Amino acid sequence: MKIWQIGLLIQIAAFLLPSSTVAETVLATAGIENSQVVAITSAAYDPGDVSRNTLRAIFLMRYAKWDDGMPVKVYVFSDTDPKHEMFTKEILRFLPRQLRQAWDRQVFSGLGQYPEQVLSVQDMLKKVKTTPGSVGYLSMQEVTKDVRILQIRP
Amino acid sequence: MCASYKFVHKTCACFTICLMLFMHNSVWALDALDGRLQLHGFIAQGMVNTSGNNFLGKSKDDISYDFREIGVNASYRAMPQLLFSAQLMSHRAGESDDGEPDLDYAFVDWTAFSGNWGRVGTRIGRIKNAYGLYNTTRDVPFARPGILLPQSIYFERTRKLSLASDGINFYADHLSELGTFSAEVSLGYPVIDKASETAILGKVRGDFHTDLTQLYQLKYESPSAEYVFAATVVNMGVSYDPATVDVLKAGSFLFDPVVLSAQYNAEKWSLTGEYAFRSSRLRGFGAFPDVAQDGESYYLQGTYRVTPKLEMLMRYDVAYSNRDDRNGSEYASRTGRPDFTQYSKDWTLGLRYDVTSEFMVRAEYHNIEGTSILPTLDNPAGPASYEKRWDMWMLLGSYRF
Repeated sequence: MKIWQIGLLIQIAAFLLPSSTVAETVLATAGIENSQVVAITSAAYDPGDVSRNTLRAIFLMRYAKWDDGMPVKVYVFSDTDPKHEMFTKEILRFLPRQLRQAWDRQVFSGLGQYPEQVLSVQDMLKKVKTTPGSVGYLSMQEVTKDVRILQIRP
Repeated sequence: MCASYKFVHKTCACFTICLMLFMHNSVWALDALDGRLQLHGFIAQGMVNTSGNNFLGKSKDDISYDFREIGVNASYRAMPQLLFSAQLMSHRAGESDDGEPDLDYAFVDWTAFSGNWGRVGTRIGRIKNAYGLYNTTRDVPFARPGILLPQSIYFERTRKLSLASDGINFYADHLSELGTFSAEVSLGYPVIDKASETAILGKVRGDFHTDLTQLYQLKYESPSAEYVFAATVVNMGVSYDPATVDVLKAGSFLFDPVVLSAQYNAEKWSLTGEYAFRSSRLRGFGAFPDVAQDGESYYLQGTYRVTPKLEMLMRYDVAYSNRDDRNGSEYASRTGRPDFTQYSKDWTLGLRYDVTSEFMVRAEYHNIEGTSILPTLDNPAGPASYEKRWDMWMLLGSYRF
């Protein structure tokens, strides 16, 4: 098939199929699984792709604004949520225990704040969608059109 | 003029308890203004029993409950690059600290430049001293690896002097594929209290004031924080103001420690070691010749997470007051005081259990030879009453929000 034909097929699929299936289809071609956890950001603001180092700095609460000055607001699930552990270990490549300790040390010496904890997938979607420049994470199948997947620069 | 410390202490405790009762049961406690204003805190109560010598209260052959830590902090992120933070702390530690609420830190943090490469900024106000790996949160029970921090490096008896300084701090972080390199330079006046003053020269007629002190710290963290290395250098001075009638002249106590730190973190366990070369001088006091002494301390510590909620700790912690007289024999023949007051060797075994993410309990056992780490105010009978070999049992419960 020619590239334009693939593109057209994807556009038609996007129109007809529920958004999660489209995401699956598109990303399956890129080799990403459904259950994998991904970083997400608001669809209203595009920060471009980020390096893993920058993403780590974001979740360590040491990266407070994008290059144009837009604040970075961080949303996380509770430490005991499996998504949190999966995201921290597989995407950030950081130990969840170290992340928690880094937050605690910063907050209790006045050097930083905690990220905001969300209570459910709906809560995460709503908060990320309505906060331009914010960053969170969800599993692939939970991603909707309201949020953009934050690509990691290889 | 001032309210008695008991009243202020009780009010502080009541306030914290009320806050906790009205809080929603989550670790994020109070968030306001879109999460830009955050309020957090903790309360911890410990019990100490020692076989010989008093530590943190009248613990010898008894149980001391004079070990209590209460902290409340607030932070406000006015802009992405501007953070205001302050913390009030009440630290009750036997006779060394009466638990009166103190301003632990209060400063403005301005990140002047930041990007994918890292950030550069400055802090002004009362700032915690970045000494070794653990000093900035030494009074925060769940941020420490045990009930007590290794005493050879984080002395309890000069705690106040080491905590925070009033001044200015410059920081820079550089992010790269190789990891994060951080540097900090602080210029300020350390906060001093009676216990720290007594630790310098014992009971004196005059007062001490701290001089402009510099602190430098360089730190490296590998990208996944598996490896952490740090080097800290401090140049500290405390000057004496003689009383009107005083046998001592206006001398100074100079303390210039260097601390080297290393840590390895794996998923279930960590290995940490710190080494301190503690150079100190007493000069210009007149009544006695100038003294220069180099102390040395180090510890090796391992932690192992048996289950996600249960963690074990093992540590060997050594302090020598004078590296040229490690067994104290030269000191004993010179002063007639016991040789074991010049060193401390501490084997520690500990357990940490996180009942919930807010509530933690800890148990710890110390087997110690030597008394160089003893807080002098807890042991007014002096070195003649000290015991060479002693142990400590400790329990601690803490709640955070």
